[in-house]
Amino acid sequence: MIKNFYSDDSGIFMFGKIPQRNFYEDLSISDSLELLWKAETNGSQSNTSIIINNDFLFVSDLSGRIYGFNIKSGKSIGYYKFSGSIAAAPIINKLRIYFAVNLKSENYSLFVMKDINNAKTLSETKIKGSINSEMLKLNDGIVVLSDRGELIKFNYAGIKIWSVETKTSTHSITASDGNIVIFGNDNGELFFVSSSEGKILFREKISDYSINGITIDNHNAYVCDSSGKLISFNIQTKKINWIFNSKANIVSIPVFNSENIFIGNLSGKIFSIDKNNGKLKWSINTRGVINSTPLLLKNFLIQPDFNKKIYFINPENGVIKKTLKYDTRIKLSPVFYDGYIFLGADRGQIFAYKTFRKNYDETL
Amino acid sequence: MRCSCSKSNYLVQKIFFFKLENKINILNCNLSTIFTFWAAHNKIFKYCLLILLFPQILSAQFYFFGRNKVQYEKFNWKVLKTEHFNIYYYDDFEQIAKIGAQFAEEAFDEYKVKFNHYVTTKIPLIFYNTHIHFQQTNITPSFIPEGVGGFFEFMKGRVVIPYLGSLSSFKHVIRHELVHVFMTNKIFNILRDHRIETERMPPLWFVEGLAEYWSFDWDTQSEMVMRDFVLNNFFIPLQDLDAADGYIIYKEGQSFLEFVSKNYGEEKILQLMENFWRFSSFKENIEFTLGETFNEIGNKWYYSLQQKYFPLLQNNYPHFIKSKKLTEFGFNFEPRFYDNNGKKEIYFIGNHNGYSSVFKMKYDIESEAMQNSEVIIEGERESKFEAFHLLEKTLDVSKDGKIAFVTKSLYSDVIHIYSIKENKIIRTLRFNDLIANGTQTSLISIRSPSFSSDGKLLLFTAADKKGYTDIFIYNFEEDKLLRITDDYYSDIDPIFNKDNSKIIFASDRTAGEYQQKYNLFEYDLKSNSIYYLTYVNANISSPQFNPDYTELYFNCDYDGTYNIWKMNYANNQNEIEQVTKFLTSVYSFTFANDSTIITSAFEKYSFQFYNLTLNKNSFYSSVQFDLIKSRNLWLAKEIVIPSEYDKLKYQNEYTLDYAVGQLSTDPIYGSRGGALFSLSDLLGDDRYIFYVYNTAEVQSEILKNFNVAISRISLKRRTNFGYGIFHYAGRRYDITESDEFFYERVFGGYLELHYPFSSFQRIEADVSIANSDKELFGDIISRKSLLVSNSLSFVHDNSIWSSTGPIDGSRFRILLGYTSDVKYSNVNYYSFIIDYRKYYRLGLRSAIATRAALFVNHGKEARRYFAGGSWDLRGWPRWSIRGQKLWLSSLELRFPLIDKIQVNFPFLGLSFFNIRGALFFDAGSAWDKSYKETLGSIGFGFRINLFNAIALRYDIGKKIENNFNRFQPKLFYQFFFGWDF
Repeated sequence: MIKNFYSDDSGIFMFGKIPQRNFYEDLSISDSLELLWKAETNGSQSNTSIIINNDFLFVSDLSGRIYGFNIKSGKSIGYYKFSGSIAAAPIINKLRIYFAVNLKSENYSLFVMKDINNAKTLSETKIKGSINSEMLKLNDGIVVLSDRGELIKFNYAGIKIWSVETKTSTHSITASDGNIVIFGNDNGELFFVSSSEGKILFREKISDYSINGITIDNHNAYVCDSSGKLISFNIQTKKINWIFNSKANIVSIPVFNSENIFIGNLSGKIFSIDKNNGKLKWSINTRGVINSTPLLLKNFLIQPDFNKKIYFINPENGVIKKTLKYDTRIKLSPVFYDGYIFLGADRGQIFAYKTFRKNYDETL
Repeated sequence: MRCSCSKSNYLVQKIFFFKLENKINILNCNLSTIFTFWAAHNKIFKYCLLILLFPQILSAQFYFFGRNKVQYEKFNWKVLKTEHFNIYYYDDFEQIAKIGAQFAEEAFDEYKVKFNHYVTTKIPLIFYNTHIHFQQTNITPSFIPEGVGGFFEFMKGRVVIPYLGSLSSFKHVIRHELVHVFMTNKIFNILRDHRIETERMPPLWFVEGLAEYWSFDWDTQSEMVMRDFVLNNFFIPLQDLDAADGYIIYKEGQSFLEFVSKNYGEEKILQLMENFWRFSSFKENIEFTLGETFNEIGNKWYYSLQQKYFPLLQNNYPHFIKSKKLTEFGFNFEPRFYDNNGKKEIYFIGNHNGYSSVFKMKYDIESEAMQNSEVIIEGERESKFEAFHLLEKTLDVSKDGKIAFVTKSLYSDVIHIYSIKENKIIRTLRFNDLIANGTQTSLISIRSPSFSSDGKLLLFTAADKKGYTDIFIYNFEEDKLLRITDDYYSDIDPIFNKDNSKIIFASDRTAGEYQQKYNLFEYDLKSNSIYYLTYVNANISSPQFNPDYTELYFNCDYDGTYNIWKMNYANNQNEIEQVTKFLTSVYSFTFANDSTIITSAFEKYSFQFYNLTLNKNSFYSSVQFDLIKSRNLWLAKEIVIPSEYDKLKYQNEYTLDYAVGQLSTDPIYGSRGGALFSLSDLLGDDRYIFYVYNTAEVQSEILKNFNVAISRISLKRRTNFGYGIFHYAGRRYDITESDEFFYERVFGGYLELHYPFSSFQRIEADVSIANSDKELFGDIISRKSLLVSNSLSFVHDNSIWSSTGPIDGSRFRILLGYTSDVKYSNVNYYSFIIDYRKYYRLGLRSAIATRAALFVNHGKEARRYFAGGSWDLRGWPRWSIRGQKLWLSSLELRFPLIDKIQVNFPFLGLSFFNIRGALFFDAGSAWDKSYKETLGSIGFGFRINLFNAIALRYDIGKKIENNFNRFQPKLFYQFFFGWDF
């Protein structure tokens, strides 16, 4: 419970910031960081991210808790606890927080809506299977995808508006341009679903492998599969633009700037690819495991490596400018907000770093 | 585990308990003594250490005995430090170790993707150059059986692998064990991430099945086993797999995961691990992850196997259809036909009598020949014939009546030459530090002996210290060893041609399109050149000429399982023809005449002999090949290490084995606390045990009640030793003296040496010195002593165990000891113990067990022995029979009672296996000065082995008293745990 919690729509309210899942910040920072605080949660995190509302940071953990921290001090403001695991990042809308709990010893999950001010549970909805896929915050509701392939839209009152049963298991993320929700399944099929009506507008097999990360860039969707392919797909023409093969499973989400798209795979390789033609610009081999989505700034690709490192990579040429080493595996995708970068490592460790403008020794 | 009374284990437990005992009569160190100590001296740690040392305590009944894990070799260990591994190897094994390192790094890169996981600590990978050296490892205290190809030790994450002569199988084992490393690390992290207890693991069939499934492709052996399981009703349904063990779960687990991948998606396998936290039952996890009921999934899997294998019956044949079965029991290998002056005989390696041995049977297909088989050499009883390497090719018979067979003997394999005419072993060949081709050569493991046609030469393959498996010729007349090949290619099953000018062998030196497949090669002894004989996409083994040397027969897995094929040797047409089309593999074979073959074949989960009549004019199929496609050699990639990390000498790296601490308070003994911890080096050779606790009730008594012991145990060399110092102080109660309470402060040190002669026999020497200051309560009597104790023992143990105790062999200990108070002369006595146990096997699973034991302490202040209870005089109260002299005798019939009993509750099903029965008779007595009376008991009981860790025993009987003149009127009922004597 957070007394006097308020929301003025300043923050990062879902994984990937916007429904397109954009991990890009149009600014440059220097490579010097100052550790502001470090906090811990009971369980570890999945490859998700923190979310932020004004002064508060919220993070889920795998022991069934949602924590709140003060983003300036790192002081815990408490947690909600459930018997199970919360894999995906919560979503905040106004004074309410929404999250999905994979219940222990049950074959269903709960979609939960809570009032942040009084900690009351306002609604709970059972969903078959697990919710490991990141939820999607749209203007008029929240979209949840279960691993059984059921896509559900709730309004902000926590009421189910529509659901779509694809009857195939999925471990894909969802992304949306506002009109359609895009996701894939383990059979390599890509789906477009109308976000207002819940109708399947498009269903086609585009890969022989399961679809994982998806991001939307104007009229193109970039889709990754478990064989390591990055597929550029035109949403309007419903045709594949190009395919790039990284040759190892990609479980993170591609990020892009105006020219290039960046992906990392589980064999530890990071690639920069020309958005227009799918040609390789550069690649590096970190020898680690890339399973978290990076943060892309103008001058750095900040890429977590499961092998206890975070790289600051020059997006122009792939040169690693700086490496931060940790005692434990890096799990969370980095988030930039209000001059701070938030990272997360194994065993529930959350780090907040103060950043500095590039070439200026002043706080952003 | 139950047979793991290894030397190391034995010494650790013995020294440990000895130190804790701090008693003057270390010679009375039977289990009762140990429990006396526990009961009287160490209330704090009793329970936690009982749990901690449970296996040791359980086997402490056999504390007197136990086989030896002998460190015959002095290994000079080195370390290769790679990106993800510390690789330990020794002596000349560097090249194969570097190849293994490359395999491991490649596997790591693959598994981090498959598991979406990264093992962040360096993985210790310990290589032994042969299985014989591997069996000497101290990383596990257990004895390592022949079939174990490596293991992953969970506690310290060590992977221990022997090199078995083939780089492809080396790669397989490395990959198999690394799947275990990744899986356990991943599961541990998943559970810890969810804040769930981390001790849980998936069932063994999943663990081993995954290791097989992700380490190599489905191969001939997997195919052979699954065909047999499904077609011959040995298949264990998914619903029952949790209760199964043995090799079957490896293959069924692998098959199931392949089924899951094909029908539900490969990603489901990882999800089974990632969902592991969610359900306490793996069955529920499977149902949740795959989205169907357990029964549906199991039935679909079985149906898919039926679909796969039942059609094979159309064109393939069981062995019993196309040939006549000659044997019924045990496993039987390497049949060799011999015409003994008109008497047709088959010599072979088998184990149907319970021991792997050399047998002879009459070759008469009309009679029940097997029932008349005769043991020629019985193995596993003495060091000369310690192991016969069942499943390997280890026997041949020459035309002039000599049998060459291989056994493990002490530190290496040897070849015994047995004369059929003289009916004895006429020679034993050991190749240690011999000169072969001008180079000093030591051969460790030997396989595939094969005589030349004149019997003057013996061909065989052997592994040297580099790990190379190469071909050698031993010349009997010149007593010379000639090395034929010298490289890391695996050369197997060599035979001579008719005039002994060429050697035909199978080898994985196949290059080009079929790289590393085992094809047939020919070595020309005149030109010293190797030529391809075959070049096919298959594995070939066991070449044999037909009697007139015109055709070459061999096993080949071209159609999915090993069948007999042949080629025209006299006129090689680059073609092989399929002679048999059995469903399951032919393992080895021999010609009885030009139209009859005796096979050793796998069927119904057993290896038996079959008599096969050849149809020389037909064959099932043929394969033509083009030798032009063959290439010269393939080369294995070795890891490149920066020079500073290359070939570092191994320095002892100590890490914690276990630590336990406790603080307790009780109304009688007050507050007390302490800790026990143990350190050992990475190779398990050197161990330190620290023990500290305090029993003070008030602060002022802390120093007075301080107890500490430090021990070091070294298992590195053949002579094991342990030494240490101790200081114990506190109130004691001595059960050997009735109701004697006292305060005692004792300090001193000890030294113990064990020298094993072989796996079966050792000599032990102990010496200790202890200063004791004792105050008896009640009488306010003080007694000081400076006690020196010595003992010398000879121990023999070649017993073979069933599920609850020994059923064959014998074991005994003879001990002489002397204990003296060298300062105050308060104590001065000698000790003598003889304990002999002999087991007469009546069948495979039943035996009569006998025991006779005499314990004597004689002299001033001699300590008492005690008996009574489930382990000696059954029915009598535990430790109720006490005296300075004690004798015991037991006779017991052990027999199988119920193999499986299943209890199904509405909410839970329980299965119990291997319930055994016993009829027993015990007798014994104990006395100080004059003999009292002979006591006894008679009855019957039930035993059950639980988890291979404990045997539960329930006895019902009648006690006999008054010098065997009277039965006590009531029955006694006794429940306890522990192995049979």
